[in-house]
Amino acid sequence: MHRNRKWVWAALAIPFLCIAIVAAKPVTTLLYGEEIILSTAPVDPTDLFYGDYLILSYDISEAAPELVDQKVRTADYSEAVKKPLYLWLKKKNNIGSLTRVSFEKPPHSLYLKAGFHNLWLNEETKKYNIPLQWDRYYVPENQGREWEERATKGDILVHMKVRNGFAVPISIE
Amino acid sequence: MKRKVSKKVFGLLEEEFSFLESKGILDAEQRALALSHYEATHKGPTFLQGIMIAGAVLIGAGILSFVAGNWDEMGRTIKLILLLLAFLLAFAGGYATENRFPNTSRSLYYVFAIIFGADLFLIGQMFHIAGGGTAFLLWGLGIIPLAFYLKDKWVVLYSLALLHYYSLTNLFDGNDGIYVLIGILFIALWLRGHRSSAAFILTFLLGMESIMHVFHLIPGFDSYWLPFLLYTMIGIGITYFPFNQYENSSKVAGNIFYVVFGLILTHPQAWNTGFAWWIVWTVCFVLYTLYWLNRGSIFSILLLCGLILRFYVDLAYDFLDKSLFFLIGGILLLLFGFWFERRRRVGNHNAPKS
Repeated sequence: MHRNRKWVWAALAIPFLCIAIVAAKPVTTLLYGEEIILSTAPVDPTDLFYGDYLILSYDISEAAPELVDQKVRTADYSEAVKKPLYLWLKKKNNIGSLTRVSFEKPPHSLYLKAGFHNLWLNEETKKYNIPLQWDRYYVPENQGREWEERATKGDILVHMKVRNGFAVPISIE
Repeated sequence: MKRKVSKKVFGLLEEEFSFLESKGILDAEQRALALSHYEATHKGPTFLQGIMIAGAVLIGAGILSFVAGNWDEMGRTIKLILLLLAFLLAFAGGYATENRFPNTSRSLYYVFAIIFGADLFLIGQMFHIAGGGTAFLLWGLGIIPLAFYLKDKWVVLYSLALLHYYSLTNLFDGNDGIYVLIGILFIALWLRGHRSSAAFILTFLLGMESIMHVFHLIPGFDSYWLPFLLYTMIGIGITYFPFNQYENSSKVAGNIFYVVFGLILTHPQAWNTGFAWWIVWTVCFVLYTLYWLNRGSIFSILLLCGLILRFYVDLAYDFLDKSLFFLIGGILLLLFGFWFERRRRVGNHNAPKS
């Protein structure tokens, strides 16, 4: 069979590169990130390829209007849709809480990045919802239900490493 | 040298030569001689290849399921090391057996391609990265060089399926259309050297999806009628100027786009503009379809039926009760059926007689 030998290395190297790309950001966050704990109430669905996971809905994803900058609240959707939102965090007994939501990048390192396009005002609670991308926590098969039950009795805490607005959940308790 | 044709064409030739023999145009010897110039090629996979492909897919599915099971007796880092090893071994095995056992080699390369996906999912699981998008995009892009190396249609189709999955699930919230475009470019390049109608049509569809992604890169873009209009125009365009090697596939794909998006644009809500452009569009669309109808295109009769039904549904749904709706719809369909049959018979009568 006449095969073009120059493709053989690409056939192996490109997949490797893809794996490295996926792993790079979380690995650096794990190595150099700052640890923080956030509270959440998980529920338990299944993904066909990733298996069982808990959906984490963080308390910091709900912001009272006074924490959200005027500029963010009154921004024109089509102009701001591509802009990042910064969630300013503060640690008290290692547990993180939200202090401000802005277009402005905080001067300190304890913050999370979200997208303006995901922001919405919940008319019932009168709070702003800011979905975060770290909303999954993968658990071994059939263990999700236990966590879901535990969540009905009280808050679940998520330990996270945070770096440059990116986070990696490392454990739950 | 014998001319190679597909099994289907060979069967047809056999039938036609026998017909000519029965009419006395060829004698038995001439028929056999004519047929001896052709050779039926077996293009599909052989039984052995089929078994090997099934085996590779089963192994791959087993590995994917192992990752999704998230077995906690084994640490994720160990799982990752094992999977990376399996990934390398499958590739090395495929490479080593290339000359002596080509079928085994190909299956091992397929296993390699699937383990690559499992690796991506496992890393996602290790760092609790939200599912969906990126893993499928990278999986689809990552196996393209393997398709080039193996010159393998199945790897290309698999890559296209993954890229489609990514493209469709991220159509309205992803801005990564540019990566899908890179994928299309490579697959189009592959298609230049290795013909495959299925891969051509899928690449064309992926290209169309990317147009939508690219429009989304424009800040504040909300003129959704624009890509639809472009799709219809491209659809009409490639029926006139089909791609050289893929004339029939181009026409099929072009007609599908012309029909689907042309019909969508006849709906007022498709145009989020102040002016009632849908009326202008509908008039142009009907005129163009009538032009083709006049040229005897059976396809445009079907399209016209669809167009009338679309308006019938739109205007009558609120006012008439359901029985009347179905009754009139049925009568309309029957009338069109009758017209269609008559038209076809006229078409057949006009055909040159042999």
